[in-house]
Amino acid sequence: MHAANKSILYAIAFLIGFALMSYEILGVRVLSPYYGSSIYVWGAIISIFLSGLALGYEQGGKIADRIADLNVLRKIILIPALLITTFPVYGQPVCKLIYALELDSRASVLLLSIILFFIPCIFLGSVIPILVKMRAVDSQKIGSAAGDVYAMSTAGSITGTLVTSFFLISWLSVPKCFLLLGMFLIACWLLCVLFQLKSSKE
Amino acid sequence: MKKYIGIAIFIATLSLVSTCPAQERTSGTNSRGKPGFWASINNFFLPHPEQREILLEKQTLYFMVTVEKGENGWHHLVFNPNRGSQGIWNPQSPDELISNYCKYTTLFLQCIDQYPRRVLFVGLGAGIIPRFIRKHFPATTIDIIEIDGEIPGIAEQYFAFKKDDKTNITIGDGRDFINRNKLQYDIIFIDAYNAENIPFQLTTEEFYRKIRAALTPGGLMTANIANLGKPRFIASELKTIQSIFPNLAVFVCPEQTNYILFAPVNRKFDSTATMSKCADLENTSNPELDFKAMFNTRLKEEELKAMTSEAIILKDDFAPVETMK
Repeated sequence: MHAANKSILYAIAFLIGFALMSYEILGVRVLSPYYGSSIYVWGAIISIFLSGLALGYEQGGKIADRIADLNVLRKIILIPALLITTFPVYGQPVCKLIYALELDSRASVLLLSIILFFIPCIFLGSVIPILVKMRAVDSQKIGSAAGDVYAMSTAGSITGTLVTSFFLISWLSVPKCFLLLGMFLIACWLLCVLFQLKSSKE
Repeated sequence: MKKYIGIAIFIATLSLVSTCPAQERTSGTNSRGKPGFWASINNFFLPHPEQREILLEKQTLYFMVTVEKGENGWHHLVFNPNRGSQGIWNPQSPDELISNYCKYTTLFLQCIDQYPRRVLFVGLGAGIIPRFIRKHFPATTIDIIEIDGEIPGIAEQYFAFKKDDKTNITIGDGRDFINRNKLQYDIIFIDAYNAENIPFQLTTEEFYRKIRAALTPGGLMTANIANLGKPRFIASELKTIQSIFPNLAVFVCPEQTNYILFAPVNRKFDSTATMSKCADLENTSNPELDFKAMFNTRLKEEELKAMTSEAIILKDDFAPVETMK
């Protein structure tokens, strides 16, 4: 594997981490006008994000055992990219629908988080084991491969958290933030496509 | 080795980037004329201007709440260390209103035509105003929505707030409560600060539209906006509220510590017509309330217009209240 491929894997890990945490903070911003910013809104969103990730890691691991290349990565990334880019279209109607059921606030916010955030998180999570496998094929050092990928994705998460909460939310409206985030993921997808083309030429 | 240097640079850059706005955010003065970030570090080493006895120190779900007893015996409710008082109460004179924002809030008396049957408080704090309402309007039903379940107990124990069978306290977020509300209120009091901000979902056009819908036709909304050195936020908030309540009247507390807002639904806040109405209140029960002086601090229409001319209307989609300065 080429050096370029190593940096592309890290770039994807970073962007995925960035998107994930940014998405989480925006999620709170979307739900607050309905449920407020009580501690259980945060609790519900964080737990649903983690559940999605857990399932994603597990499924991603299985996929990685079978096949781990830019092609499969590209397909997986495209789904959350589309879901997040189009969030402004379906987000508010879904919120209104669930809120109108007048369930207990906690149950309602959990249900809504599952509907809105669970699926993108599964896909974002499943990227990570695939990246680890792709990195490890090269070096035969699975430990450091996993460590590097997690470090990069966590660095992305830290950046995503800070950039979103400190800057994005004060610069752009929430729907525009979602669009921007979707663009990040589409950039990931494009990276995969470009390098696939490049490596097929070689 | 290179990698560690890289990681160190990354962390250093991030922390630099992240502390810059945070420092700006805490600088400026708040209601107690509190100094900014570095000055408050200096203050840590200097003696406190007033020696206060700590009556209670409690970590709740949302705040680090302290109840402090000043040298003059007054009780102060403080959320999070070194923040301004959320409520002040004098045990020697339990019905006295001490904070200027409480005194100014009583201007609502000038703006009601009839005995309020049902009122709502968004945010309880020390419960000073609910206490005032109960004293003057014993038959009024008082609903309170407070996010922190420990605050009512603290208000009862240290600020002589009394919950009776006409007082209903709901623990939850004000926005969720208003979204689900089906009752009509004669007065809604909004004073929902956490330590530094009003939570964004309680500042937007959509929120105030719901507040308006929850008021009776003759109803009144009143809100307290503390001046925490964020003029852009205050201007935007005033503009937002004015877009929903065109009859908004704004009064400015001494030294501009607080802006007290009155928004009647279907009439003007007409000071001349109502001046005489509560002359008796002024003279008999609350000698500290100087309505005339308070009236004179009302922002003129031109002033309000000039203040809000360049402000934005806050919406659920875009209300960066945490970073507006």
